Amino acid sequence: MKRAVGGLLLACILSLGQTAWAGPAQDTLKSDVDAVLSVLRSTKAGDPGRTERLAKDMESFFDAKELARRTLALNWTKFSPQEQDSFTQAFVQLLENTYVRRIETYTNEQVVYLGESPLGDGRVEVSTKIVTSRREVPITYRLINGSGAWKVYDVVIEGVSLVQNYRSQFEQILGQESPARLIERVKKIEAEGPQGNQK
Amino acid sequence: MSANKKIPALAALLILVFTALPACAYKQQTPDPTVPAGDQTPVRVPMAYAMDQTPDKAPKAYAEDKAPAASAGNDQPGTAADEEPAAKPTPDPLMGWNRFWFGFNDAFLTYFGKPFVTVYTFVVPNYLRERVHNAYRNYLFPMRFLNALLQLRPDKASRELGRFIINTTFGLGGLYDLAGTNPNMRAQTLDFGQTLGVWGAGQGFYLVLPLLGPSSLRDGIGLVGDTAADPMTYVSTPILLSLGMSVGNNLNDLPHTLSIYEELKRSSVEPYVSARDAYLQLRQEDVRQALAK
Repeated sequence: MKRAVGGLLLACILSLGQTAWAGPAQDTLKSDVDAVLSVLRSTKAGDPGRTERLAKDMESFFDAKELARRTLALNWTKFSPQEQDSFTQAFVQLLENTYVRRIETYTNEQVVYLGESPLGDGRVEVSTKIVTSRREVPITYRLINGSGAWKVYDVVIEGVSLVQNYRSQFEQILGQESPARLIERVKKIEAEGPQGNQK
Repeated sequence: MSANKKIPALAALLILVFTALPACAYKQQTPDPTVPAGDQTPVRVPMAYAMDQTPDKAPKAYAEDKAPAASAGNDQPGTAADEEPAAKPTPDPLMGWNRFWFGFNDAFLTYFGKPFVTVYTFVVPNYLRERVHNAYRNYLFPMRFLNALLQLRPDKASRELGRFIINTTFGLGGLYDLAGTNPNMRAQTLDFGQTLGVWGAGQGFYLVLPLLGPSSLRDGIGLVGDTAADPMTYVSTPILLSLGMSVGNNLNDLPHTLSIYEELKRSSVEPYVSARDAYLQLRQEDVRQALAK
C-alpha cells in the first residue's frame, strides 16, 4: 500500500515537470511548416508557381478570421462587415508574406519542435526553435481549433509577437484614420512586398 | 592619466542627468501608482494577451508592466477579440522627440548606412566581419560577467567566465567563438538594462536615441552602466580609443542592423510604432529569459 502511494506520488511529481508534450496541434503545425519549407527549399523567388504553391499551403496554416479579429481587438466592431472581410483578406496576405520572408532566411536550418502547452479555451502554444550553427532562434506558434482543424493565430519570433506588433500599429492608425484608409494602407504595403510584385 | 579617467565619468554623468530629467516630468503622469513594477514575476506571459481591467481608461498604462499579473498566455476563457482590450501603448511621452530621431536615424541608415554597407560588405567578407564581431564581444566580457553577478546568477557568470577563457585562449583572443559550439556555452544576453528589469524596474518610457536607435528610460540608464563596465574606462587610454572601438563595432554590425531595419520597414504599416513595439517586446523577453530557470 505504502509502495503504491509512493509510486503514485512519484508519478505525480514526474508529470508536474512535463508542461509540454507532443500533440495533435504540434503534428498539424509540423506538417504545415514542413510543406511551406519544402516549397521554399525547392524553389527560388520568382520561380513560376512558387507564389501559388505557397498561397495554397498557407491557406490551411493561418486562421484568417481569428487573426484579423485579434489584431484589431476592440476596433473590430468599428469595421462594417464588408470592411471586416476586405481587412481580413488584406491583412492575412500581409502576414503571410512577412512570415514567409522571416522564415525564408532559415530554410536550410533544422527546425526543432519542443512540444505544445495549453493556453486554455481550446488554444495551444507550440514552441519550436531553429538551430543554426551560431545560435538558436525561438519561434512560438499559437494555435486555435476553431473549425475542426488546428490553425495558427499568432507567431512569436524571438519573443516578438507579430499580431501584437501589428495591433499596436493599427491602434495608432485607427486613432487618426478611418478603417477604409487602414485597409488601403495594408494593401499598399502588401503590394510592395516581393510576392505582391509577382501578381 | 587622471584627466583621461575623468572624461568618461563626466560623460556618463551627463547622460544620466540627460536621461533622468524626462523621468521627473514623467512621474507626474504615471497613471496608476498601485500597479506593481513590471517584469518582476517570472511568469511566462506574452503581453499581447494580458488582460487589463480598465483598458480604455488608462491608455497610457504600462502594457508590459501589467502583463505578469495575468496567467500565462491567456485571455480569459470565451474571450473573443471583441472583448479583448486594445493594445495598450507603452508610455511614449516624448513622441515628438522620438519621432524626430527615428526620422534622423532612418535618413542616416538610408543615405549613409546603405551605401556604406554596400562598400563594406564588398571590401570586408562576412568571415572577417564575424571575427571582428566576436573579438569585440569577447572584449566586453567584464560587462556581462558583472551583470550576471548583479542578477545573482552564478550559473550565468561561470558560463561567461568559461566562454571568456576558452575563446580568449583557443579562440585566439576571441576571434573565434569556440565555446559557442557547445549548446550549453552559447552566448548570452546580459546587460545592465536587463539587470534593472530583473530587479523589478519597468521600462519607464520609450526613448529613441540618436544613431543608437530604440531604447527606453531604463535601458538608457543601463547603457550608462554598461559604459562604466567597459574595460577601457579603467585603463589610461584616450576616450577616443574606446569610443572608436565602440563605433567601429557598430559599423561592423551595420549590415546586420540594416537588414533588420529594412525588413521592419518593409513589413510594417506604421514603422515607428512597429519598431517601438518590437523593441519593447524584445526587451520584455530579455528580462523574462533572465528570470527563467
